[in-house]
Amino acid sequence: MKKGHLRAIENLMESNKNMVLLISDNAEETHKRIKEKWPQRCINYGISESNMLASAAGISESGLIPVVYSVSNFLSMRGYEFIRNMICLQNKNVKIVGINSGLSTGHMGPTHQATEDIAIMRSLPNITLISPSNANLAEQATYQMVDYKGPVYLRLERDEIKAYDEIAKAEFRVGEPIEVLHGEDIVFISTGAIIRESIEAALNLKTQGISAGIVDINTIKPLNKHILTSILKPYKAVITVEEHNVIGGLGGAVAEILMELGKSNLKFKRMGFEDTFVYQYGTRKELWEFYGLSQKHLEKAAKELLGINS
Amino acid sequence: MQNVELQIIADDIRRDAMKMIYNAGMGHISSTLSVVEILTALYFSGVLNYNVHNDKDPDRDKVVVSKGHACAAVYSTLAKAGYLEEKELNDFCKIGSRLGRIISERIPGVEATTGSLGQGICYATGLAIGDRIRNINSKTYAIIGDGEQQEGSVWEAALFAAHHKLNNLMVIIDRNKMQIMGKTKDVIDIEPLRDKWSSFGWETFEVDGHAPTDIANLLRRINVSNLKKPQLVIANTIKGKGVSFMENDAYWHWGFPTEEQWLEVFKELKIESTVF
Repeated sequence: MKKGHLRAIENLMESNKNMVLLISDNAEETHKRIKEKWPQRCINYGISESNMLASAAGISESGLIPVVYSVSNFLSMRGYEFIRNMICLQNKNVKIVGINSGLSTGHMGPTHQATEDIAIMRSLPNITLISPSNANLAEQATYQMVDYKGPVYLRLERDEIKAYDEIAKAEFRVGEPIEVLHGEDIVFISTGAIIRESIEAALNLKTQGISAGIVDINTIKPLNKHILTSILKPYKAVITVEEHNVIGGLGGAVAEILMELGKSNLKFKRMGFEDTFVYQYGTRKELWEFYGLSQKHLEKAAKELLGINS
Repeated sequence: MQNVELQIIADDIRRDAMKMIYNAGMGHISSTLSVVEILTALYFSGVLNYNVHNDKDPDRDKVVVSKGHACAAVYSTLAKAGYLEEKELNDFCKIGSRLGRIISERIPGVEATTGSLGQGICYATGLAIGDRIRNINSKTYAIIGDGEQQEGSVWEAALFAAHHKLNNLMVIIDRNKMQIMGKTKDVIDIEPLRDKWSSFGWETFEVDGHAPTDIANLLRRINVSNLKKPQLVIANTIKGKGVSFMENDAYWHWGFPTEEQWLEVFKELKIESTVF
């Protein structure tokens, strides 16, 4: 989905003269082209995320729109206090683009996997947290975040796994969940490319007479509770699925809303990493399998939650 | 202006800052006292181009005070410059006031909320880059502490500014040689400080940080020199400057005087009334 983002960034450099791209020794061909064409508006900070984030806040002071690009962990975790004080506290118009989120770089292990960033980033006042599930949505999100006033964290994953027809052409609007499939019994709420496991599970459950819906949460903060609850109306059970610690992530965000709206009668399960680091090396599919997040695990969890013997 | 004239202004700022801290019953006293002449030189010698009627004037010179603990000195300076009404200084640290114990960008004339050390200089590089992109011919000044030199991000910013030849950026170090637990050299030694900055690719200078005209003259000279590199000024100061029993005593970074000691402060600084 990075490709969709980079395509939008190149177009935006051309069309929006206020946009400034801040990079950190990334190997993107698109960046090299941009740097050559607009050397003044593409600044390489080298490997120094903290300085880059605070510096971005300073750049935004003059009305320019800095887009900061680096690996999610290095921005959101190493740079957290710089984001908090310099960007969010001062409510600066800075766009933070974190790449390789979740298990995007599965063979590199836990130092390079962002599996707690949603929890820490969504707790920051003033920030908007966008987490698209495919290239199409990432591209639209990139255009919209630049027009959107205020700090944004765009959580991108590295590669495109498979574009499902159900969401390949969906329209992105900041703050609006997308109902991918409508069902009646149970609903999977997911974010990022791992939504494909929910889609596969829902399609397979259908053949077994279980009607499962899918909701794609592209904006984790603010999470539109009215749209979400209206989508969730028909269901008896909810499963959240994410490439993230179950603590504080999408599951936590959805649970907070449902409890406060008095939906505690819904059966509810969070699926993600059970308060653990992902200290295994493998492809994403292998890791989903290992950590119980693959299609078959989702199907099993759905049946258990509905009290159906498989 | 001669040293003596700027010093009269500095003495006033020092008095006002101490009045604020006395009224509030709190404040970082000795780091406030060491930075007074640096602020005086910037704001009252004609070095700094600022517009009190429009603190967002794009052409303004920008001042980031990274040692945000010294905000009593900064707020007193801004009041004297005309950004704030003097009587607002009475409200320092009181509930409902804009003026807290660490500097805040909500105050007119303040560029950034700092005090988390090592962030101000990074923010300042962005101001300088922004001005360069927009072709605005102004200067960004960052006043940073010496204990702050122990933060890694200071050196990230130092590398970055030198690499990009940000000659519209000047960093002034309030070199009072102390931090909360004692002498900087005993906590984590930062010397040879000037050599470090030179080797990072900065033009470096040193000045008596309590001689406001000397500071102003140096800054003026630097600004007309058409230098190609960012500039670093080490302003040698005395922590607790102006109050004899506080000078060079780390206790006063955090300590607070007794009523009896305050009388001594008032006497030494010639404070006649504590109300603005």
